[in-house]
Amino acid sequence: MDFETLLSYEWGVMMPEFIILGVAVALSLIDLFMPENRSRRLLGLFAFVGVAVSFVSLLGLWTSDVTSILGDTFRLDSFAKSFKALLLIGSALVLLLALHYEPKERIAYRGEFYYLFLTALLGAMMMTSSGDLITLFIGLELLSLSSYILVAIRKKHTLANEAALKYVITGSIATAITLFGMSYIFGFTGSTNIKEIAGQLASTYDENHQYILSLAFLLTFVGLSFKLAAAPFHMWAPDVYQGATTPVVSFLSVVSKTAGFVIVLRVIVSVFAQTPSGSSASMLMTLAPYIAFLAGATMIIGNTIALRQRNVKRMLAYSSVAHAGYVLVALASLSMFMFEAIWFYLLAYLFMTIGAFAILQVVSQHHDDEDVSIFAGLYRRSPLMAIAMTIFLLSLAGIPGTAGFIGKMNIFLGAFVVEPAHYVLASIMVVTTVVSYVYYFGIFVQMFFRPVEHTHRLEWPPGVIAVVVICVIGTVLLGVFPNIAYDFLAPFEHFSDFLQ
Amino acid sequence: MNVYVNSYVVVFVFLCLGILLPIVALTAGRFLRPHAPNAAKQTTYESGLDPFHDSRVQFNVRYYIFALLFVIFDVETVFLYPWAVAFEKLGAFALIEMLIFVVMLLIGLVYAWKKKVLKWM
Amino acid sequence: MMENAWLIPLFPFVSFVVLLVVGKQLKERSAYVGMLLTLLSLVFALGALYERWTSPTYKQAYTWLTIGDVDITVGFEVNALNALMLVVVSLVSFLVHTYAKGYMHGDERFPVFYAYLGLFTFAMLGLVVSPNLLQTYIFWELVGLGSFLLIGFYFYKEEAKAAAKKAFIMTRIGDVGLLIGMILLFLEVKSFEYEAIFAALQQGDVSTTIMTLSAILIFIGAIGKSGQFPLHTWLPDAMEGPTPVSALIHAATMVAAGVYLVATLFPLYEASEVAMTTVAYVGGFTAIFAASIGLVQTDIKRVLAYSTVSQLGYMMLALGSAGYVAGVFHLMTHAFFKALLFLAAGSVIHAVHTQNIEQMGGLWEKMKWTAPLFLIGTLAISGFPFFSGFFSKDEILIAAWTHGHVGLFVVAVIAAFFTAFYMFRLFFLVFAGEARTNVHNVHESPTVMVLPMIVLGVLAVVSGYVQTPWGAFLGEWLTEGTNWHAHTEGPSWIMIVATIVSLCGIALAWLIYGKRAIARDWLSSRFPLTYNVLMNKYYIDEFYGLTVIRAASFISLLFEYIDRFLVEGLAQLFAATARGVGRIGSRLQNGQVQMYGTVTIVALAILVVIFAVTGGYL
Repeated sequence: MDFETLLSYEWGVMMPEFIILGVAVALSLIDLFMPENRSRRLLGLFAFVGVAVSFVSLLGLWTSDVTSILGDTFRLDSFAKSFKALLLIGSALVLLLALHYEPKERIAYRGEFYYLFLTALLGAMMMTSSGDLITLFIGLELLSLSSYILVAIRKKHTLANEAALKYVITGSIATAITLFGMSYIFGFTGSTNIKEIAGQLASTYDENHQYILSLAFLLTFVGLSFKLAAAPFHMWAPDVYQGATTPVVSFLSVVSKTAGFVIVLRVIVSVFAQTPSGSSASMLMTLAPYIAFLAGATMIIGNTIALRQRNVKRMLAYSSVAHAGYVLVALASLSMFMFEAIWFYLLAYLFMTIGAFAILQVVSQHHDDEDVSIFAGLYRRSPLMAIAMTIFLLSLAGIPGTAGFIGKMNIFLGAFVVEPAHYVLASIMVVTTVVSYVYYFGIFVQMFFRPVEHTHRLEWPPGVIAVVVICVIGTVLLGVFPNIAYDFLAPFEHFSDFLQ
Repeated sequence: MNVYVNSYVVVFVFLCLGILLPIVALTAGRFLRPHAPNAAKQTTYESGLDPFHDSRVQFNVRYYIFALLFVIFDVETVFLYPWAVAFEKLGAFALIEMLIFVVMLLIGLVYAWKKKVLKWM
Repeated sequence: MMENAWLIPLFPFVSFVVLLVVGKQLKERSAYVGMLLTLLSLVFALGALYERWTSPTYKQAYTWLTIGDVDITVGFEVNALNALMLVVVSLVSFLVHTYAKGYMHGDERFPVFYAYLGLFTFAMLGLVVSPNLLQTYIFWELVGLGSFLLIGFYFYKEEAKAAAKKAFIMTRIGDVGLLIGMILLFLEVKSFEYEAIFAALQQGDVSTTIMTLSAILIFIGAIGKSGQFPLHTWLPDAMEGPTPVSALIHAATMVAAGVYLVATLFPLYEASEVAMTTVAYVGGFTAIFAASIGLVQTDIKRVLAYSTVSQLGYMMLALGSAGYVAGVFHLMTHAFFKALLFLAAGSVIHAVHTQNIEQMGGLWEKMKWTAPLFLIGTLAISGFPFFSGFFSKDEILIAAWTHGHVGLFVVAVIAAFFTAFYMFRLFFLVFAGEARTNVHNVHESPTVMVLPMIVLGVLAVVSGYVQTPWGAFLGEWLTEGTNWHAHTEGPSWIMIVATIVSLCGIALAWLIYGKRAIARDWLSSRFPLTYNVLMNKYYIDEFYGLTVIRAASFISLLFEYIDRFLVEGLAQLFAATARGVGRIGSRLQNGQVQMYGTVTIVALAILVVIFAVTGGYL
C-alpha cells in the first residue's frame, strides 16, 4: 500500500474515533504528569468535552454517504452513525455521573478511570463501523479489557475485586466461544471481510455446509450474548453490577450493552441474512427460532429472579437482563423495522437506565449496600427526585406515556407484523412485563409509603441533577413524541445501506 | 465429502494415539518396575542436595512486572523485525503504522515509569 | 392566537401539576393559581375566537407514530365550532374556579379540589381542540376520569362514592360504543382524522351500513356522556359532588361533550338518515322524559340535573333534525344559564345548608343577589321572551318542525311547558313565601361567589342575541363553507306558541306555588300513580335493579366462582411459577464462577443438540 492510497482515504469519517483516541492518550499523559494530590475532576471534564466534540463531529458526518476506507475494514454507514450516536450520548451522561461519584473510600485511580472509559468507548465505536471480523474482534476486546479494569477500579474493595475476576473469567469463556464460531466462518469463506463473507456464502449453497455453518452461528451468538447479558451468558451481570461502582454499572448496562447489540447485528445479520438455507429464504430466518428461544429465556430469567432481589443494583442487573431479552425479541422477529425498533429501544433504555442509576448513585452514597430500603421515604426527603425516579421506573416497566412504552410497542408490533407472527414470544413479553411491575413497584412503595429511615441530607450535585433532568426530558419526550427520535433516522431510509 | 471426512480421520487417529501413548507407557512402567520405597527415595530431588525448606517459595511480585514489561517489548521486537526485513515492500503505510505502534508502547513505558515500576523498591 | 391554541388546554394542566406538587404548601392560595391559569386559557380562547371570526380554520398536526403505512397524528384545530366551545368551556371553568374559592372555603382538601378542577378543564379543552377521533377518545376518557374524581370528591360519603362509580361505569358503557364505532370508521377510512373521514364520506368511499353503524355506535358514546335515555341515571346521582363541580360538569363541559361530538361529526350523521332519526328520537324522548321527572323532585340540585338531561335532549333533537346551528346555539346558551342556575343553587345551599326545597322558602328577602340571578336563569331556561333560552329554544322548535318531525315538535313543546313549570315551581318554593323551617342567619354569599353569577347572569340574558330571527350572526359564521342552514325560516306562529306555552307553565307554577290558588297536592291526590311514577323517576333505577342488576349479580356470582376457583387459581399458579423459576434461577446463581461457565456451556450444548436433532443431523 503506497502513500497515495493512504492519502486518498477519507480520514474525516474516522473523526469521532480520532477525537476519542486523542483525548484518551492526552488524558493518560496528563494524568501521569499531574501532581498526585490534585483533583482529577479536571480530567473528567476534559473527557466529557472530548465526547461532546466527538458527538458534534459525528453530527457533521450525519448526512454523508456510505464511505468505507482501509480496504473495507472501516465503514461509515447509517447503522454506524446511529449507534455511535447512542454510544456517545450514553457515555457523556455516564461521565457526568462519574464526575460526582464520591464514595466513602477514596478511589486512587481516578485518572485511569477516565481514560479507560474512553478506550472502552473507542472499542465500542470501532465495532459499529467495522467491516471486518478482525477489527470487530479488536474493538470487542478493547471494550472488554477496559471494562474489566473499570470494574476493578476500587482496588481495595473486596466485592469489586471479586466482580472483576468473575467478569474476566466469564468474559474469556465468551471470547473463546465467539472466536471459535468466527473461525468456522473464516474457514468456510477464507476471508475475514464481512462483505466478502456474505457474498461468498450467498453465492455458494451446499447442503453439507449447513450444519457446520449453523453451528458457527450458534457459537458466535452465544458467545456474543455475554456482552448483552442475555441468557445463557447473563450470570455475571448481578455480581459484577453489585461490585462495580455506579457509573461503571451504568456504563456496562447502557454503553456496553448497546455495543453488544451492535456486534450481534453486524456479525449475525450481515453474515447470515443473505445466506441461503434449505427451508427458507435465509439462514437467519431458519435460525431465528433459536434467537427467539434465548430471548424468551432471557425475559423469563431476568424478570423472575429480579423478584427475589433486595439489592437495588442486583435488581437493576436482572432488569437489564430482561431488557436485553425484549430487544432480542425484535431481532428474532426480523421485521421490516427491526433496526429502528432496536435503536429506539436502546435510546429509551439509555435514558431511563442512566436516570435511575443517577438517582441510585446519590441515594446509596452513604450506605454500605444498596438494599431497597435506602429508598424509604425518598418522597419526603427529595420529592422531585422521587418523582423523577418514578418516571424512570414507569418507563422501565413500559407504562404508556413514557419512552419505554413506545419502545416496547415497536418491538411488540414488530413481532406481530411478520409472517408467521411470534405470538408465543409476544405473550411471554407481555407476561414478563407484568411480572416486572412487581419489583419496580417495590421501589415505589419504599419511596412513597415508607417512613424515612435515614435522615441525613441528600446532596444533589449539579452534574447528577443535569443527568436526571436530561433523562426525564428524554424519557417523557420520547414517550409523547416518539417521532422526534425517528426524525433523526429519516436520512437513513430504514438502514437500507446496511447490507450493501 | 470423502476427502473432507478422511482428513478428519487422520486427526482422529492422532488423537487416539496421543491419548494412548502416555497411558500405555505409564501402565507398562507400573507393571515392570519394582516397588520398594524408603524415606530417602521419597524426598524431593534438588540436584543431589538435601532439601532444606518448603518447596513453595515466595518471589517478589516485581519479577512478574518486569517479566510483563519484558514480554511487551519482546513482542515489539517480534513485530519490528519482519517489518524491517520487508520495509521496501511495505512502504509508507507500514511505517506510519509502526510509528503508531511504537508510540503507544512508549506511552505504556512512560506509564510504567511514572508508576515507579522501574524502581526496585 | 390560533397557532397558540394548543396552549389553551395546557394552562389548566399546569395548574393541575403545580397544585399537585405544591398544593399542600399553598393551602387556599391554590385558588389563585387555578384562577390565574384558567383566566389565561380564557384570554387565549377569546383571542382564538376573535381571530377565527375573520380567518379560516387553523389546523396543525404532527405525525406522532407511523405504524406500517398508517400515520397517527396529533395536533389541534381551531374551527368555528370549537373556537366557540373553547370560550364557553374556559369561561365557565374560570368562573367556577372563582366561585369555588368561596364555596369550598374551609375544606381541608381545598388544593386537591383545585388540582382536580385543573385536570378536568385540561381534559375538556383538550377534547375540544382535538382534530382526530383518537385524540378525542383519549381526552374523552380523561374527562371521564376527571369527573370521577370530582363527583367522588367527598369520597367519605357513601352516596358520593357510589355516584362517582355509577357515573364512571355508565359513561364507560357508552364509551365502548364510541370505541367500537371509532375502530369501525378507522378500518374503513384508514385514518382517525376528521378531515379524512369527511373527505371519504363525500367521495362515497364508506359503505352505508358501516356509516350508519358507526354513527349510531358513536352516538351511544354521546348518550353516555350527555346523559341521554337510557344511560341518563348517573347524572342526577352525580349531584353528590360539590356544587361548583355540578356547574362545571353538568352545565358546560362533560355533558356537553356528547352533543359536541355529534356536532363535530355532523357530516357523518347527515349522511345517514337512520342515524339522524335515531339521534332526534332519543333526544326528543329524553327531553320530555326528564322534564316530567323534574316536575316532582324535591332536591334543588336534582331538579336542575333533570332539567339538564332534558335540555341536552333538546340539543340532540336539534342536531337530529338537521338543526346544526340550533343545537350548538342551545349548547352555548344552556351552558351559561345552567351554570348560573347551579351556582345560584350552590349559593342557596351554602346559605341554608340543605338541598330539600320543601325546607326552603322566603329567601327572596334574604339573598339580595342570588335570588334575582336565579330568576334570570329560570326565565332563560323557561324560554321567556328575550332571554337567551327563548331564542335558542325557538331555533330548535323551528328545526324540528321544518324537518318534518311533527310528533317530536309536539313533544318538544310539551317539554318546554314542563320546563317552565318545574323551574318556576323550584323558584317559588325556594324564594317566595315564608321560610318553612327555622333556618337562622341565612346570609348572602361572599362577593367571590356572587361575581361569577353576575357575569353568567348577564350572559344568560344577552347571549341569545347572537342568533335571532332578525339576524343570524352565529349561524352564518358557524355554517360558513358548508351547505347547512345558517338559520331556518319557520312559520312565525311557532314563536308565539313557544311563548304562550312557557307563559302558561310559569302561570301554572305561580298559581300552585306562588299564589297557592290551586292545592299543591292536586296532582298527587288525583293521580297518585302518576305522581309516584314520576317521583320515582319512572322506576328506571328500580328497573335496572330488577333486571340488569339482578342479571348482573347472577352473572357476577357465576364469575365470582370462576374468579375464585379458576382465575385465582391461575393467578396463584402463575405467581407460584414466577417465584419458583426465580428460586431455581437464584439457586443457580450461587456466586461461583465455575457454575456460571457451566450454565453457559450446558445451555450451548443443549442448543446444539436441539439443532442437531431438529435439523436431522443426528
